[in-house]
Amino acid sequence: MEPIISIRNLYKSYGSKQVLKDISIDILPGQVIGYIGPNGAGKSTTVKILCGLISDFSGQVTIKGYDIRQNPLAVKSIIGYVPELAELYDVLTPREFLSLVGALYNLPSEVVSERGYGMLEAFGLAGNMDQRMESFSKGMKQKVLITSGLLHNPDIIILDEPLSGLDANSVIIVKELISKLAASGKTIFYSSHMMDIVEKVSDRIILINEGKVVADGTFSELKQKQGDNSLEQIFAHLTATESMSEASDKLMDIIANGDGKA
Amino acid sequence: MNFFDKFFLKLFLYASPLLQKLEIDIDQLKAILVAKLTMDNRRPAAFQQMKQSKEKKEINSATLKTMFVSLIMGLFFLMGFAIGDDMTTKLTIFFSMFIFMLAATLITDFTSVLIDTRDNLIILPKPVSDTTFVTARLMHIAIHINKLLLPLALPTLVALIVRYGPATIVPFILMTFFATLLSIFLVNAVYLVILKLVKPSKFQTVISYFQIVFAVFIYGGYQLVPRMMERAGIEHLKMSEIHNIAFLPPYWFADACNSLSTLTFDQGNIINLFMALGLPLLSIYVVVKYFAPAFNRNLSMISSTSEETKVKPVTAQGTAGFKMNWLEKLATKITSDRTEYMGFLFTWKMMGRSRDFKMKVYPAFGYMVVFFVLMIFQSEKLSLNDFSEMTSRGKTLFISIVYFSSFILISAIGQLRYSEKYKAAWLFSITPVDTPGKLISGALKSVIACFYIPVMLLITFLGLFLIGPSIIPNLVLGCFNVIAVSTLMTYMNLRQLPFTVSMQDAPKGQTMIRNMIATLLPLIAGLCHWFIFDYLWAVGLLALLAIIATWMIMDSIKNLGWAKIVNFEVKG
Repeated sequence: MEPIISIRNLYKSYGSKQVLKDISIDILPGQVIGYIGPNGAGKSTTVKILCGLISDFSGQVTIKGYDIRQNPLAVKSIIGYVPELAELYDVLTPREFLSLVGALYNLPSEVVSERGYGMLEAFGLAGNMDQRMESFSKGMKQKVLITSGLLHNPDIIILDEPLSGLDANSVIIVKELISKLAASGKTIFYSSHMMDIVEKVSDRIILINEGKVVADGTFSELKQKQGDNSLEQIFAHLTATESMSEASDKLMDIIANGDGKA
Repeated sequence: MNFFDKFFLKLFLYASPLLQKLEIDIDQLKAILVAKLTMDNRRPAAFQQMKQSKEKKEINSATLKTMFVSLIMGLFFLMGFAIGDDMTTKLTIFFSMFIFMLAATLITDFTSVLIDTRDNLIILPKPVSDTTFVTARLMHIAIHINKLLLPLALPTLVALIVRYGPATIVPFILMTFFATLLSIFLVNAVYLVILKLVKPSKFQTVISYFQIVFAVFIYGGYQLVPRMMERAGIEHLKMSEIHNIAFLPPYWFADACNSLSTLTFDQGNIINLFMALGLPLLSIYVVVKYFAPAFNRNLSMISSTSEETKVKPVTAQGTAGFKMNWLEKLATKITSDRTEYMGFLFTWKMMGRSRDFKMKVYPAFGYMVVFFVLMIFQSEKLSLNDFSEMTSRGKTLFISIVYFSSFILISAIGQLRYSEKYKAAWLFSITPVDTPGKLISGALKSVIACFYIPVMLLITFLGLFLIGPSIIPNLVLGCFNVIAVSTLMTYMNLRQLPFTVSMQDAPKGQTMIRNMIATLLPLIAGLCHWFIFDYLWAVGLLALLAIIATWMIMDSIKNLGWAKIVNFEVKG
C-alpha cells in the first residue's frame, strides 16, 4: 500500500537549536499512530510541519502524494487538526466558530450547521450552541475543537493531546471514536503524553527523543524488543537518563531526612 | 456586527470580481472578516483596557463605544480651529494631531486586535491560501482604521464646510486618506524598530510600555497644550511663516488641502501637493514591499515563543542551596517575622514581574512627571531663590511635590490585591499562616520600599541641593506623613491578601469615593503641614508623631487575623 504520510530525512532547527534530526516515517492509511516523547523532544514541531504551519524545514514531507510545501492547500483540506490547550476564539459562540471553520474548508453552510449541530449534540453541547465560549470549561472547548477538526470529514486526523480537560465519559467517547474512525480508513496521528491511552488506541507507536526516532512499532513489538511490560516503562527506559526509582528514592530521602546525601 | 461593520463589509465585497481574479476565495474571506468583526465587537475597547475590566458580563458593541471615544477626540481636534487665521494653519494642527492619534492608537491596537496569534492555530491549518489570508487581514485592518478615522475626522470636516464652504470636502477626504497611509507607515516603522531592538518574546511587554507612555502623553498634552497656547499668544499664528515648516508632513497635507479647495497653485503649493501625495504612496510601497514580509516573519516568532516557553538549560550544579541576594537582605532588615518576610518578597517579585500590575501603576509615575512640569510651567517667575529663601511660593511647591508623590504609593496599594492569577491564592489557605496581617504588612513595606523610597530619595536630594539642610525636619515630616496616610489607608481598605482578587471583582461604585478620600487625606495633611511649616518645634513634634503613628498602624495591620480578611473563609 502507498503510504499516506511520508516523512523523509526531516530536519528542523530554531536558530542554533536542532529540534528534529533526520526523522523518516511512512504511515499507511488507516493506521493510528501514537506519537510520544518527552517535553521538548520535537513532537509539536512535527505536528506543526504536518499541518503546514512550518515550512522552513529540510527534508521531504509528502501527504497523499502532495508535497506539503508545493501544495499546502491540497494537504490542508485533507487534514483535520485539533490543537492542544483549547486554542480558539472564545468570544464567539460554537455556532459562529464552526461556521467560520466550515467556510474555511469551503463547506456549504447547510452541511456545516447540520454536521456541527449533530456532533455537538452527540457531545452533549446542543444547548450551548449560541453561548459565547468564554464561560466554557476546558473540556467543553475541547469538544468544540474536536468537532471543528472533524467537520470536513478529513482523511487524516492530527490530534495534539486531544483529551486534556475532558471528563471520563467524554474520554471514552473520543477513544471509541478514534477506533471507529481508524476502522473506516482514516489515518490518525495522535501526539500525547498519556501513555495508557496511547497504548490502547494506537496500532503503531513512534517514540521520539531529542529529535530522533528511538522506537517505532506496534506495542507488542516494542514490548518484545525492550522486555518491559507497559508503555510507560518502555518510555522511561528509552528516554530517561537516570532511573526513575533512583530519582524517587532520592526524593524520599530528602523528604524524610532533610538532605539528599543520606 | 453592527451597522458600520456590515456597511464596510459590503463595500469591500463590491470588489469581489477583482478579488476573484487575484485567486482570493471570497467565501473564506467573508467568513474570516465576519468572525473578526464579531470578535472586535465583543472585546473590551482600547480605552477600556487600561481600566480594570469591572464587568463580568459579556461585552457588546465595543465597536460603537470605541467610535464614540474617537468622536470625542475628533471634537477635541477642533481646538485647532482656534489657532491661526488661515486654513493651512488650522489644518496643519489638525493633521498633526490626527496622525499622532491614529498612529498611537494603531500601535496599541495592532497586538490586541489586529494581530491575533491564535490565527496561527485556527486559520492557518485550514486550506486558506496566503493571498486570501493576507487580504482578509488587510481588509480587517482597513475596516478597523476606518472606524477610528471617520469619527476623528468628521468634526473637522463639518467645521471646514461651515467655515470655508463645500469645496473643501473632496480635498479634505483625499488628504485624510493620504495622511492615514502615512500613519500606517509610521506604525509599521515603529513595530519594526521594536522588533529589531527587542526579542520577540518581549514584544508584548514593550507594547504595553508604549501604551503607558501613550496614556501619559495624552494626559500631558491635554493638560499642557491649552496652557502653552494661552501663553504663546498664537491665535494669530501663521504656519507658512514658520521656519522649516515645509519639512513637516502635516503641513503638506494642510497646504495641499488648501490649494486644492481654493484652486490656487503657486510653486510652494505644488511642491506641498506633490509631497502630500507622493510620500504616503512611497511609504506604502515600502511597507508592502519591504516591511510586510519581515513583519510577518517576526510575527510568527512572537507567537511561537509565547506558545512554547522555552525552559532554560539547567546550570550544572549551581542551583544547589539558595543564596541570599540584596533584596532578601533588605527584607530581613525591615521585616520582623518569617511570614512578613515572605509577604515582602512575594509582593516585590509579583509587582516587578506581572504586566498587569505595571500597566495599572506605572502611569502614575508619568502623571507625576506631567504634574511637575505643569507646576513649573505655571509658576513662571519661579527662581531658585524661592527655594533657598523658602518664600511662600517655594513652600507651596515643596509641599505639593512631597504630598502629591503619595499618589504613586496610593495607586500601587490600591492595585495590590488584584491579579490575573488570583486563583493561586489557595496557597495561603492551605498553609498554616496564623496571622494573615503579616502578609499584608510585608506587602505594604514592599510597596513602600519599591515605589516610595526612590521618590523620597529623589525629593531629599533635590531638597538638600536646592534648599539646604534646613529642610530636613520638614522633609521628615512630609515623607512620614505620606507613609502614615498610606499605611492608614491600607489598614482601612486593604482587607485582602496581596494578589488574591480577580480584576473582574473590582468594586464599581465605591472606587469613586475611595479615590476621593485617597486624594483628600494627603491633601489635608499637606495643608496642615503648610501652616506649621516655619515652626520648627511643631514640625519636629509632628514628625515624631507621624513616625509613631506609622509604627502603630503597621503593627495593627500585622495583627489582623483571618476573621478580618474578607475574601477567605475564616479558619478555625
